[in-house]
Amino acid sequence: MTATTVPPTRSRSRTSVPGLSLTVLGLVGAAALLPGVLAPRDPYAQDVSERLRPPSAEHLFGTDELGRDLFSRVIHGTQASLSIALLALAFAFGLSVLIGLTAGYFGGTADRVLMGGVDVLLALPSLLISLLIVSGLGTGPLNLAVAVGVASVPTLARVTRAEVLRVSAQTFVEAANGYGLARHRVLGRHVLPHARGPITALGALELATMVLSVSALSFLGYGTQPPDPEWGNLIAAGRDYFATSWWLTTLPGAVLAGVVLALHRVGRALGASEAGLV
Amino acid sequence: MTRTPHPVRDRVVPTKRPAASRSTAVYALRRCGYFAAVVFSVYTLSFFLLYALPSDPVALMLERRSAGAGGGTAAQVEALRAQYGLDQPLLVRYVETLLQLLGGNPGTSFQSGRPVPEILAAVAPNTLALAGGALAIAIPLSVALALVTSWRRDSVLHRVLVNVPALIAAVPAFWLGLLLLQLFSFTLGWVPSAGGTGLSGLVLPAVALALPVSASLTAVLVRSLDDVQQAAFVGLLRARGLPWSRVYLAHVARNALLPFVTLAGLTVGGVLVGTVITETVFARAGLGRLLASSVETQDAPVILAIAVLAAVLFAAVNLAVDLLYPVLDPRTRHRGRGARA
Amino acid sequence: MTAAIDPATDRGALLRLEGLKVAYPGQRGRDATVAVDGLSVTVPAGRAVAIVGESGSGKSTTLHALLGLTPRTADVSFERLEFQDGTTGGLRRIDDPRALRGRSVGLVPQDPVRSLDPLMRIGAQFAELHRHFLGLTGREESRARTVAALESVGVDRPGLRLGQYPHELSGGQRQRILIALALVGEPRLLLADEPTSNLDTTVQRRVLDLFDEVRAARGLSVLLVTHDIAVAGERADHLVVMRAGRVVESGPTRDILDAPKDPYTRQLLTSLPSRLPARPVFRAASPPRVVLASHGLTKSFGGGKGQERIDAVRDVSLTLHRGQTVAVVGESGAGKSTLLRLLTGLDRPDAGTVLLDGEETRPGRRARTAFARRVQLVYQNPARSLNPSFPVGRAIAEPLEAHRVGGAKSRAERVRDLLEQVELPAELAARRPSQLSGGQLQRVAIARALALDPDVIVLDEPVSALDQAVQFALLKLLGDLQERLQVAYLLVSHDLGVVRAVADEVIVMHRGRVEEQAATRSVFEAPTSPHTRALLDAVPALQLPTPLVHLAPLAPFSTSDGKKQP
Repeated sequence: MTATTVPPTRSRSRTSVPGLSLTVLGLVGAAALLPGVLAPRDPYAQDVSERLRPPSAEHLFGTDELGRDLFSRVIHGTQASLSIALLALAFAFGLSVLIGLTAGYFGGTADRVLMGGVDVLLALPSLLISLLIVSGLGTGPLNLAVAVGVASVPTLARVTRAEVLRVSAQTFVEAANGYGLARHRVLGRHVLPHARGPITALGALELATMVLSVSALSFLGYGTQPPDPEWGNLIAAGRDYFATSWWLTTLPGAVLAGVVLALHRVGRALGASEAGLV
Repeated sequence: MTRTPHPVRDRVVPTKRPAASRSTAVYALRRCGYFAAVVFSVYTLSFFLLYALPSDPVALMLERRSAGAGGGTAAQVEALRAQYGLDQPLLVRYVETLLQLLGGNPGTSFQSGRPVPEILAAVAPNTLALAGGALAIAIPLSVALALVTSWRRDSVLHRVLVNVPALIAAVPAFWLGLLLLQLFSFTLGWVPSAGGTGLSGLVLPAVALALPVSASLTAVLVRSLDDVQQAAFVGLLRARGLPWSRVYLAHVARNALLPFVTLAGLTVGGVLVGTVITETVFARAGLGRLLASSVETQDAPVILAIAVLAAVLFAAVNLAVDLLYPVLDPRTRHRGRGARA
Repeated sequence: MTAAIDPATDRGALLRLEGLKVAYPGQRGRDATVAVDGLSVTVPAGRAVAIVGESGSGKSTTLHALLGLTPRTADVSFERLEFQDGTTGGLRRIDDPRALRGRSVGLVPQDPVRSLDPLMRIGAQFAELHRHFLGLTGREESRARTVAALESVGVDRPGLRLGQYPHELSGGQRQRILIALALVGEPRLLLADEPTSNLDTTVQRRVLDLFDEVRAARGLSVLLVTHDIAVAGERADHLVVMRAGRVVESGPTRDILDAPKDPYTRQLLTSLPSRLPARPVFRAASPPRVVLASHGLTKSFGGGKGQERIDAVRDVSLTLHRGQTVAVVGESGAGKSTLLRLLTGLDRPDAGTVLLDGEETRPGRRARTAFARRVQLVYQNPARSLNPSFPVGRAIAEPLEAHRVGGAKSRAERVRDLLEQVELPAELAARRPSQLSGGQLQRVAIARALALDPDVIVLDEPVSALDQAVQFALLKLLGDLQERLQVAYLLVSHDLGVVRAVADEVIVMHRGRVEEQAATRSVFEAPTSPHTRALLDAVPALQLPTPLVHLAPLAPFSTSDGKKQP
């Protein structure tokens, strides 16, 4: 029997990571890390003579009611928005991977107890969970991150558990148990590497949701407080003038929507190509 | 394999379906037990979040009531604590509040001093109208959009339309509301910007509330429709010469819409909680806006009442779905008649 | 079944298809894939024609193209498609194959389980077609017709079936119902797409008999698509042998079986399990060396509170000698898999014991690990039993690593040695499973099972996912290995042809119990239990002239991929 190549199979419609989305995310990442370099002006500098100017070459996004440059404020706001969302993601990921792994791999009572709790949280819309936590902990960026993170735990934990169970049920895992490979090796070598992909993809999608939730809660006034800029509170502040100055709400919102969309696409692309492996 | 950022995936394949061996009564009882457990857990969770955490509601309340005039004296604080029962141990309060809630008395607001039921009743009709309107838009919209999208699985139309839900889902709900206001109230002047009465005032907020919900619903439905089209029986029905419209509507759509029912709880939940944003954006009085302002002032009795009310609603919808599902899907029905030969 | 067309019954051709080509256009720089290349087939009226080929040969694509069911991305063309005209009896040109659906050609699908709308009662599935084909709207008339149709395909209690849902019926019943549904439009040709490959052998036989009956009673033609040349040879008047999208040989069945012209056809016929070298009669060594034995194994699964417990395995005792092959056979649900899991220690029995070298196995992870060294398992689907992201060399070495045998260098050497034993080139060790064919993967799995020098290898349907020629080569390898290493095999298989060719002893199971247990020869030649007889009757018999001259070498054809077609 000689070595053969696999016959050409019909290619599945596999999404490649879209370049535009990555560019958007790259720019946003740069804005979050180096706002001072990218922003053309001081986000706090007021200039009453320049108040409520529509977008122009000088002020790309126009100016607000105190004459501050909106474009610079959006760039500086990126840091606040993204860092809260990333903190929330890290929090949610740590907690839910722990819960999901324990429940999925060890099963039994641990599984029943943990998943019982997760099911209760899953029965509630995530915004309500976030609101309950904010009202308990009080407002502020850090509390916001916890509130948004906890709201994502049920979904992520469920998916982690489902993935661990799915991979554990595969024949090659049973085979590894069968020839006597130690339990932690089976978990680390065979189960986790194959469960990782879908969980990562979901993580990217969750991050998109978190960016949305963080800005929504900031919009309601529970997050970063003015005069510090953040996407949600910029939009909230623009509401007072939006009958006359459309750019104050529309432009920061468009940036936010663009970032969320880019995260979505990257998450989907990850999900599709990773799923092709297993 | 694509995933939505919602717990939708876990709902599509419901985990708690009756085992073939259990009788219907046992199944129904179990679901009712689950309903009670969810509501009870939400109460417990909310209670401890609201009362066991460090921030002091009385101090906040006094600060607000005296409008920054320096707060109250120590005696005043103590009197208020006693009035609201805050001087008692946490566990005693936990049990007392639970008993009060079960007796239909959620207490009085820290903020206004009025009984909570009165406050809720004043604004609830507004919210129900808004939520009802949004559902009336969201469900037909997403079913129609999904049916059109999935009609031909490998057509250009499919490739274009399948991106629409993701696009809408990426738009922040509050921003969408503002955009709609901008366009239809200020630019076109078709509807009043705020405080409109009757239907004309309801249309815009209902649309703003419905769109994000329809986005996730449509995405799930399209995937479900696409999956069912791959099923062997669909190919066979085509092979027998049945027209595609018949196969699609009578078989594909029917099989694909079934998991949709299990999303009802999530949909109703999404719409209700969405009112927090929508009512704020459109400056409408309602439960959502009441919750938002109560969170800001840490008005615990109001928040607790709204959370429990919400939990009862979502759990009730899920319970109804669970009880209804076996009627809709014969595969989950209990055996007993007819023999497998 | 004669090859020559009897002029008295011959009413000419029913279907003539010439020059069918199906290609899938290349995507993203890949070349286009040609699935079917210039296929021609003629189905005479009242006859059965079989298209035979392994997975990937294009046989199913042909069938789908004939009804216009190929995906829209596929490029389908044909030179000529003609179907007999109902009134004149002459051939009529068909431009769009979709026109044939239902009324001219009825399709019986491969998978009875997923081929019925799960949400519709059986009665409603018929009523829908009655409305469509006959314009029948009356409920009573549709009912009456359905009952009659179900009766004619041998479904018991047809009145009761009307109100049932598909999931309430067995696979065989569903397949019968699917045949009845295909007949509603009164087609003249039945297309059967591997109609029995998902059914048990005994049910298989009954369904194939039904096809013959229906064909005779209604004067239909049948175009059967199958991978099993034995089934095709037994049931069809004409054979069309396909390989890689092309017809390699076609003609009357008898002619092809007696004197195959194409080397590939010859290979198909010579790679039947019955062509394996005869096994010498097994003689236990003296003193007998029993490596694995079980006494009174019982395992039942509960169905919840108040529900009867179902015995999956009941009171099974067996002994396995060094160098012996014992086969366990039975229909699905007979308890084979449960027995296998008990014997390999994956599950614990409710009662009874498993003995290794005469010693009772103990519970606990340490004992389990020690046991695993001596008893290894090879799974049905090799692609799934190997971690897709590990190079196969690493997979083979992992049992050694798990038991801390040797260092990195000696392990690498052992992997080379094992690959040689299973007749694979050493450079394959660096490849990933996705780069290997099904047959190669199963060889890797066997190499992994051999790594720890076990005494027993449990083979769970080891060849059923593979194409026939690959199966043959693998069974031969297993025989060679056994001779060389004196390893004992416990083989679980539903394929009695395989069992007969490789087993020394056969255990026939039925509903968890041992129905018959004896030497292979006596089980096959003088079965004592009626259940065994039913199983044996179901095996398609293929009369072949022996010996075939000019046996084709195996090598050039063993490259085909063993994966099932999507």
